[in-house]
Amino acid sequence: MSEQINNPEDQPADRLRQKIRSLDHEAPQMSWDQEALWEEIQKQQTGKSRIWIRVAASVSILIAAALLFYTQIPKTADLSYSVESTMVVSQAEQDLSWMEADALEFIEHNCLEALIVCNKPEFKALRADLESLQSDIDQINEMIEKYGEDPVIIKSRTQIEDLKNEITNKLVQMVLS
Amino acid sequence: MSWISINRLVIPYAGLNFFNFFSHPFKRLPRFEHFKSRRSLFDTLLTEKELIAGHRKPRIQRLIYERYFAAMSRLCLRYLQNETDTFEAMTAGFLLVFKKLSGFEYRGTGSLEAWMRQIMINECLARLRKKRASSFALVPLEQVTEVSEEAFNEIDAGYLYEAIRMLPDGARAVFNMNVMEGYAHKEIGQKLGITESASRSQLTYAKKKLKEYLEPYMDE
Repeated sequence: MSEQINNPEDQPADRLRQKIRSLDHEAPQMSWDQEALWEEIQKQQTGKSRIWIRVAASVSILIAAALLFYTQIPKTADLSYSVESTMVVSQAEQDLSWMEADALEFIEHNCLEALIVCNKPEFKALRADLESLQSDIDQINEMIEKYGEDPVIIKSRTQIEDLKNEITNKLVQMVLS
Repeated sequence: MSWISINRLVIPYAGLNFFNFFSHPFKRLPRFEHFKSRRSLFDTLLTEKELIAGHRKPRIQRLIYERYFAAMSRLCLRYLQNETDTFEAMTAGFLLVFKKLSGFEYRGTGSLEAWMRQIMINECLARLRKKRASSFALVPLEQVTEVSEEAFNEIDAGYLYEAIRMLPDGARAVFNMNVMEGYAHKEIGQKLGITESASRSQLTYAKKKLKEYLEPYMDE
């Protein structure tokens, strides 16, 4: 309304305007009522927000799918290698775990018979090392379960297991001596 | 009277009062109704500024709607004549109001209503343009004689309102924009996509038609 009509000759127009505006406090009679219009407004408002939710959801799904696809590419490339190595490692692991279990049982059994060597600080320190290594291995296994078999993690687990075997051997030798 | 005896008298009495004060009104009145009536009373006192500040809340949106429903429905019905079109225009208009209210700059009392009217008029004009573009055409001036607004001074507002609604689309739109909203013919021309002279002729035609419609009531 850039050029409002305000000059004196338009006063009758002002009066006319005021007359019509005086009706504004009262809604006209119509085939629909105030509630029907409000419901429609509400419906369209929620409809619009739902559309945005749908758009946001589909975009996030697409992003998630793209990320998954992207992260899967190197894994699938390494799949043949990792499957093979884990197969081999798991076989060896099984043997080792049996041997380990036997060795640990042997140590426990002998220490229960109150061998003097079991009370030696050196022996106790080695047993403490063994326990901490075992907890390390447990943690690594949890990580593998959560994030999958990463070659670096598997390598470090193998190293810890080697160290654990070494300590077990030492303990067995100490018991036998 | 010692302190102990005073306490014996006062404390049980105060306790009774305390109990009555908190329990009595809630026992008599349903709790929700009590608060609801107080809240709605409070809501009617909200200023335009407060309505603008809280416009994102559904409760405040409802208040805005309730406060301006009558004026906006009168306005749209005056432009569109058709009730279904009015329903559509008002739906779109109120949705736009709620959406754009955060960007609205308050310029004193009445500025919110004026801004809302502007939005509603635009919605109405969009519908008019879409449906009946041909009806805004130039009316031959030799067919009409000038009628002053003074001719309608004595007419009842209700009759006048209905007479405006009876006008043909083009004449009604121009009359509403020029006389009721104060738009200049140049601006009307731009908004309706017609020439300035077409706007003038439509206004003259509208006044003539109004006089015709209202002539039987002019002597009353």
